[in-house]
Amino acid sequence: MARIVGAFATSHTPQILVQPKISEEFTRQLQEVHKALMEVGRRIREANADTLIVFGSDHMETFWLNNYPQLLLFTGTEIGGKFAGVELKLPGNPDLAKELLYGLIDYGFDVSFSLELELDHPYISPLYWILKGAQHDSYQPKVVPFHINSNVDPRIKPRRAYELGAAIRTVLENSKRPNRVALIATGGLSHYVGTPYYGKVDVEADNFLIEKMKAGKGYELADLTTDWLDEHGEFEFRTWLTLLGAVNSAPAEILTYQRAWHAGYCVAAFKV
Amino acid sequence: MVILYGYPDPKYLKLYKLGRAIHLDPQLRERFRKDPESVMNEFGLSEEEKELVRSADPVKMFKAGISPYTIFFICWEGYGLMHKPVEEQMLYKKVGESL
Repeated sequence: MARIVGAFATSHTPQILVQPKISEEFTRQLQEVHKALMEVGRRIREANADTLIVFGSDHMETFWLNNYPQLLLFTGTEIGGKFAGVELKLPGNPDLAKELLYGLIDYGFDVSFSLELELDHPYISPLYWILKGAQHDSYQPKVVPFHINSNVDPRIKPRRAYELGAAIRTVLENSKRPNRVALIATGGLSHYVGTPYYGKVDVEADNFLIEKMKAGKGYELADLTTDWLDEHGEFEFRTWLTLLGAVNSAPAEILTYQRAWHAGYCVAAFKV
Repeated sequence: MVILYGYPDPKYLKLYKLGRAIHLDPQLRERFRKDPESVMNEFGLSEEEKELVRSADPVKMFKAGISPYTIFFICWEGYGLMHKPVEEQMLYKKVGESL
């Protein structure tokens, strides 16, 4: 069977790569996030993961309003994208991705697929630092992006996102492929980008989610509602819910939490 | 508080296209900064859409029903708000609490 050998979740803001010089405090906070992301990379390499399945959410960048998917799995051979002067070109894992696609359809998740994608900051911002931390000799994991719509209404319901993760775990467990898979969820935590609430960070909501995850009670968070997620700036937590479902709510270790001026930055590792 | 990241209103489709282009195309972003009127004309924006873009006012755009990501592309990336002091970017401190 394909084994889940690592599971991580992280914020994915553009600022992680753009690094605007707007205050010493913010620069220091971003450096802490970079360190945590490179630690994720180091752990992925140490676990000898050959494939990274990355749950991200588009913001009308990769996808457009001529065809906006709820769920989309990349099944192609090579994936790339440019953002903030960084260009990534990475191998996909079409065999494993195709098996996952068919398996999820069998489990009632009508996932779209694509053989070509241009990634944007939800993937590139964290992956740049994670892959930097993973750099060692010829280590080169394959990357399979998985879009979970969290940003453009109507969006996948939180419970459905969690159940999707559980189905992903089942498909991987039933696979005869020998892959060693690391899962990465990107997005959040509390922020209100582009709205009049920009600059608000609901630290209480962040702490609530973090404590549940640390306690191994991520399954309780599947009961959150769309309204709650928007109200507390936690709308991108859907990708984390998918990961929580995939690891059966394994307890989280928080590698860093930074309450920055515009977002609660969090990088977490899950004890799989 | 209402749903913040709602369904994109079809009447602003051209404005959404402009926002996405500003995000994806650095050259167009630069042209927009220098001459927003001609770029808006290229994208065929309506007078209502042009007024919203000219305002460079994220709150006004949000209240009109523009997608927050389009607002981010136009105001933060297009008009360069992302590189301004934090106090200028923190709308919540200025207006959010009164919404």
